[in-house]
Amino acid sequence: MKYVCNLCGWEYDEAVGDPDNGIAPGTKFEDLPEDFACPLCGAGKDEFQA
Amino acid sequence: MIITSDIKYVGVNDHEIDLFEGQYDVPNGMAYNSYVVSDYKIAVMDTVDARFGHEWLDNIAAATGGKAPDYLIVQHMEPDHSANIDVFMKAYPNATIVSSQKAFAMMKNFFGKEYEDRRVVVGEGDTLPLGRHVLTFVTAPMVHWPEVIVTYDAFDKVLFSADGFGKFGALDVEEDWACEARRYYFGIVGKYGAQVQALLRKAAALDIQKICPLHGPILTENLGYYLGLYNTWSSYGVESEGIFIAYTSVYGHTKAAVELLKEKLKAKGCPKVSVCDLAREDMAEAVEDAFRYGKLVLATTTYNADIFPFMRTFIEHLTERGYQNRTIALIENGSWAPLAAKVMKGLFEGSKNITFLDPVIRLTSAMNDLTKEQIEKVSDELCQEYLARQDATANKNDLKALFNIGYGLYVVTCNDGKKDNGLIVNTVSQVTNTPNRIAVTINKQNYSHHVIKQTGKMNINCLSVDAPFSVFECFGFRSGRTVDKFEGWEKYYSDNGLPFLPKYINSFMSLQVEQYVDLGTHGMFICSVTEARVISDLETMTYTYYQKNVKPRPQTEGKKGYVCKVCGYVYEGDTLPDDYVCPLCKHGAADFEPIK
Repeated sequence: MKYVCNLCGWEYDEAVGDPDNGIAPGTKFEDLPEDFACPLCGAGKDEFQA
Repeated sequence: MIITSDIKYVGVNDHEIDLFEGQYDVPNGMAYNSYVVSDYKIAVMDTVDARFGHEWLDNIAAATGGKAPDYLIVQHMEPDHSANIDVFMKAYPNATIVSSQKAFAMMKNFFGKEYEDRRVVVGEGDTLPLGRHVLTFVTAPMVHWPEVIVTYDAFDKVLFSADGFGKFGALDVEEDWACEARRYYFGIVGKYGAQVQALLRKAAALDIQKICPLHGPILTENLGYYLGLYNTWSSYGVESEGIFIAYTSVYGHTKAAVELLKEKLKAKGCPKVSVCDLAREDMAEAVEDAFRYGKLVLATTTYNADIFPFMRTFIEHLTERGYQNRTIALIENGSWAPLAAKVMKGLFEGSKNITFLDPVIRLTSAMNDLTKEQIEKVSDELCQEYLARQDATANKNDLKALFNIGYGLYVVTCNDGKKDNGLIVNTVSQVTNTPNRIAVTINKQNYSHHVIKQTGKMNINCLSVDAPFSVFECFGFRSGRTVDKFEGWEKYYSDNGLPFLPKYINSFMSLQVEQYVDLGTHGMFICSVTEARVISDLETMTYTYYQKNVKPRPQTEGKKGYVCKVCGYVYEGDTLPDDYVCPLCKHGAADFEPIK
């Protein structure tokens, strides 16, 4: 699944994760920490849409 | 232009541009601001649009007296501010770029290089000492790009605010700040209200005396005014009282309805009615007005089984910018199958806190008597507060006002010496606090009035929102003279020997009557508190909550006659006798209304 940041358009791809910020490939969006922030613009999880 | 003894303006005015950012009309041109901070080290704040490289470099040389700047601070990477980065770096081969990590990544995308050996990467709170001036960097993600930083100089108390507080218009043209700053804000930054709010909170911690934005004039006086407007805009608040009407009209019929509505709104006391023909006037101005006022009217035609294209574009401009907290009235036209209102409503589905007014004003080609009636109704709705505020138009005997008193609902319990009794009241209020005194008013016809007057004590049970309608049926609508209202209840007693409800309450108080006030139909007991317990953390049941969520909807479907507004009892018959009394709740004929 892919999730897109509603503010800046950055895409979180579960298959890829976010290795630069310590999120391993394969990490489900719902398993991201509650304080996960968009690495591009800093938006919180609730700003993401599937 | 000198801003402080050490800070000079080196930006340029652009009167050649036709559309700013490829879409915004700028009749008075545009300014690309840039600043030089001269100290032991010299820093330049941002570059300018590609077409003004030479003029800008000349301005820098004049401002520094020919001395080479040490730093280029890049706050924002949009090309109107960043296009001359490489030109600058070639002109000043010893200079260093100071910017955010994300900006350097963008430089690679724009220029093919990210200046690895000539750069300083800064983040939140980092500082750059120039001498007396120490620049502090504050990140401003998504105001309105992700890489943005703003810069604070504590020595001169200057905030370099990037695109924040910018406006359309070159600096050599005098014009009002707010209008073009608002059009700029909602056009370009509007979607990012939450991010602007975050930046304003950071700015509140700084002592700011001057704001130097990347467009528009340097703000040096009355900064509270500008900060206040930014706070209103970014929180999607209402800036000005009034109504904005945006319309499209193919043959003039929709326009005629808009004009009639405008006339009515003005006549009913609306302080400002702003109207825009979306096909012929500036769309960005329409967008700013929609955010400026709290009430919006949209009027358009059904077109290709959708809506007229300019209206669709306009609504999309609003929704993609987070349009919210507004009241909207709709006018639709359609000669054979009007569905514009439905389409317009649908476009706002994802928007927060939008209230649509009833009815939709509908033209099936041209205005007729029914349309005019709808316009009358909608203009009344839109002007409710204006009508009510004016002496001449106010209904000064609108007793519905009393329904807005925030009543709670309570079960008052007592004992006549033989059995426990209780009734429902909404007339409990604390009247003093040293000592705590509570006033309870009860109708003299109620058995409890008689009992409490005799015994001088009662318990007040504060009903909570989990109380079902059966509690009201049990303690209301019938008399303790003839029934045992506590039958079937588990019994709990307070120290005064009176019962309290085992559930559906969040607290109770035991009261001792100190004074009795005769109010004709009712008696008021003014009491001291002898015991008080909190039972749960649920919220108190208010009369409004009861009306909305607990009271069953009257079963009037398919019935003819009258319905009791208090309890929902239905009287079936053509005429209701004047002396009729509701058999369920004992309210009179005046509390009945005809079933529609």
